[in-house]
Amino acid sequence: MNAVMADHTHSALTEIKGEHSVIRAIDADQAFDASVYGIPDADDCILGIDRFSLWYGESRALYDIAMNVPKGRVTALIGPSGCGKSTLLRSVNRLNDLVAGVRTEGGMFLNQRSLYDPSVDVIALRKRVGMVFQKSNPFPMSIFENVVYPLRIAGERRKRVLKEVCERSLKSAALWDEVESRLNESALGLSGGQQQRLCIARAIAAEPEVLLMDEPCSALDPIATARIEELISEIAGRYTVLIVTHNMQQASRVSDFTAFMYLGRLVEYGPTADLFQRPRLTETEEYVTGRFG
Amino acid sequence: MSSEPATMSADRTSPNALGVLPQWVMAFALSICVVMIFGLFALVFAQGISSFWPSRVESVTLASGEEVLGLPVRTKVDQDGSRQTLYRVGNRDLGGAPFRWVQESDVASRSEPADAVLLERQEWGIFIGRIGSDAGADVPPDVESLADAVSAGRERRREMEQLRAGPLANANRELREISQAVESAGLRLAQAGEGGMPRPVWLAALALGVASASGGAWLTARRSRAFIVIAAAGIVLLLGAWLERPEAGQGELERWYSERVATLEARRLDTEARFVELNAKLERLQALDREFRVAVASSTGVLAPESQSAPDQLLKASQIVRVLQPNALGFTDKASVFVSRWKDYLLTDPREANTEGGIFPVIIGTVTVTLLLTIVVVPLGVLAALYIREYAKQGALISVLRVAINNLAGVPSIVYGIFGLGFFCYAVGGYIDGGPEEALTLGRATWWIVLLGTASAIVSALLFRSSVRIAGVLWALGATAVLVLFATSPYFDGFFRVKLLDGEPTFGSSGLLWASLTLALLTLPVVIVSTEEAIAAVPQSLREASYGCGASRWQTVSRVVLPGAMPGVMTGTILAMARGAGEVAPLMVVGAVKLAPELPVEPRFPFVFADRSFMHMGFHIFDLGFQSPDSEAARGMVWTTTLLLIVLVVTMNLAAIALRGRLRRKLAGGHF
Repeated sequence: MNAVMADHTHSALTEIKGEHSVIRAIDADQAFDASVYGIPDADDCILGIDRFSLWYGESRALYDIAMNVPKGRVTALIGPSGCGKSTLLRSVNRLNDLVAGVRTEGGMFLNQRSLYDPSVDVIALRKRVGMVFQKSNPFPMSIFENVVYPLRIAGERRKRVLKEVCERSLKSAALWDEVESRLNESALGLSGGQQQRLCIARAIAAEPEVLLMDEPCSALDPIATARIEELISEIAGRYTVLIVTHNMQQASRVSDFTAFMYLGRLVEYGPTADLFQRPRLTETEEYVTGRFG
Repeated sequence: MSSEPATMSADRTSPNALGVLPQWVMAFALSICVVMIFGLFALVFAQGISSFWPSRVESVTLASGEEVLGLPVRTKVDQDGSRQTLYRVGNRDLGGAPFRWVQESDVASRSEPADAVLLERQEWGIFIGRIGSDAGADVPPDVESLADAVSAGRERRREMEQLRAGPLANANRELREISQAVESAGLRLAQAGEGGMPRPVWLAALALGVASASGGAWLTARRSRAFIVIAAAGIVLLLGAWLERPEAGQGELERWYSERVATLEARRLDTEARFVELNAKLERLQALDREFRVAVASSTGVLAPESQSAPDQLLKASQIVRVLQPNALGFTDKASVFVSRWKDYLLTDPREANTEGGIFPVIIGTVTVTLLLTIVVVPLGVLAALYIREYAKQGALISVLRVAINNLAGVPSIVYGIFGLGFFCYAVGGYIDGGPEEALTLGRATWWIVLLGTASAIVSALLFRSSVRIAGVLWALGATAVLVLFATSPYFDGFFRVKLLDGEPTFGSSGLLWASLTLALLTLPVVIVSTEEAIAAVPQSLREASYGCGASRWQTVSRVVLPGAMPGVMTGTILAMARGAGEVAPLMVVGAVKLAPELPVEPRFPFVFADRSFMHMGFHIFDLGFQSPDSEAARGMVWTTTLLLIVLVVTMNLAAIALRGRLRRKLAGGHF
């Protein structure tokens, strides 16, 4: 998959004039330093990624990714399909562990604590990292049970607590007014946009430290997309959001920082406004202006 | 020109390309299938429903002047063109055949006399004749008095049957149990003095065992590894102390024996007195019953006797199940006879080698064995399928296992039956009854060496964390050794040894439990395969959502995967039930019988009698159709029983479909 993609984009890019130092470095199989600027100090970052690499069996999906994700801000991961954005995202809550044959090198640190240390309790880790998927995936249960699922599995039984959390999460996810009267009905009866907001409510029910969003709007219509984007902006201060998106406008609208990835490498990472208006690298400029990707 | 079709006829697509012929062939094939399936259902339904409808009695006067009274069954035309009609004439106890062919050429006249009477009797089948009068009869010679006498007789019969099956049977059983208890006490006395540690050694072993076990428990709390070794040693010591507990002295044991026998003998006297009393009561009822005799004469004027061996005694009213004058019945009367025959059929015991009466015990047997097999097979199959899909590493081993399970579904069911008989009935059942076989039983010293080996294998398996492979081998070894220990134990000589010594196996022969287990084995692939498919159909995205929320694998499996797979589990369950309910071949060898003396369930502890043999619908059909002495008479019963079985299985399948549909709707969308 990666190889095919590389060939395709490569031939498209060589026609374009410019420096293309990254592309040439990748072609020559040389290491290069990503262009990183304007990121807060490591102390203000909640998630640190330190030269992280990942293999699916024999094929390498991530190459020495090194980046810090600022606390309480929205960071977008952009890049052409197959560049490893989703893999990187799924490495943060170690969901990739479920895939047979995955191997990693390097480390990740959540609040300075290693995520890949053998002693880490993966289940406890996932409770601290919420995740929203590309396709909404509510459980075939009632709306209420969907939202309080993270608490249920943590052993919470007190009805009052569950109700409180359900209401708070649904309000945060801007869904409360629409479902207040039918909390006990099946979640599968909701519309696509409502289902995705329900999944967001579920992801933030256990008060995670980081919220991972994997193209949360790709299956939604423009109106539902706008609502989710609003929602991301609203919750941004309270949670650290790491969002993968294919939509340049979305990235520029909702995020504070943007990382551009290409062929499993981090290429450019900086404040969103800078990256979109004054990118340092030709590759980034060509991607964000839609000339390839 | 504009009305001309766009293509000329020469350009038309050829019928070959359109596949006209294949379409016709397919439609033809489908029609044949439809005709066969619905033809079968229609035939079974029509025959099964109609066999209880009262048919008319014909009176045929032959050229010789003889009168034949009978129910016309069917007509056939011989090769020479002569017609013959088969009549069911009944009256088997008068010495004739119950069915008779009548040549059309012999017939002088035919009529349907309104006074013809049909008796359904407890014994000797139906009797067809007319109400006669005789000095020996106690009931006036008219049909109303006869009907009244029959219903009064039914009450007396019920009373006698209740007495016989209830208190009398209980007293009988108690007497048998008392004899067995006496024998068992004798056996214990005879075995006294075999083994047992000296008391001081025993006390020391006991103390050491308690100390080690509690020490192990204490270390467990401190998460020390040594606890396993010490706890295992404690358990082995305690086991030894229990098995080798010092026997009471010979004198003490003899005292115990004589006390026990005295108590039992006192109980025996009480029970015998009760038995005699009940028997006298039964005899009084029987004497009373003999005072209600009826006179019904055959077409030749012979009166219906009490039995073939007592031709000069008239039939008792209580021997008659139902009396009717078929030719005098209106539609509503016939309908009420029809309903009451169905009621009897569903709610009473069979009579006359199953060719008459009801199939109540058959229904109970079928339902019990089906429920038991379900209770066994569903948890087993679902857990196995969960492990295969959600836990096991998908690889060559699992693929081989899956192929093996699929092949298991294709093994002929009689093979399961023979396996069940050999393994469950003889091996496992024989062990439960009488303990390990003499040739297999180890000496005490050898047995203890094997036990120590087993304990150390299990302890090593628990301690060996570094290599999964070695730990696995040790586990397998330990588990096998535990089985060997059970099979060769010198300490166990069966739970039902006394009965076995009387030549009366309890679990060591075919019965309800082994039949259920055999059927469970037979239907296991159905449950595993359908559960596995249902588990595979649960979207991966739901699993990821659950893991993403911080759920463990077990929480994901129990809260998301299993509920999502529930429709498939239900389908598998009900398919297994339907398969089990309709099975015949394996049941013939592992427990179904022609006539079970007792029901496998009774309203007294333990409610389900797993060692008893039982009756089963599939086997009942086979028995009625091919094993009964008078298959012509059993014809109606075969049809109705077949109908009932088909209704049962079809109902189960429909329930499966409905249930699956409901669960699917619940899982796939909202409630609107």
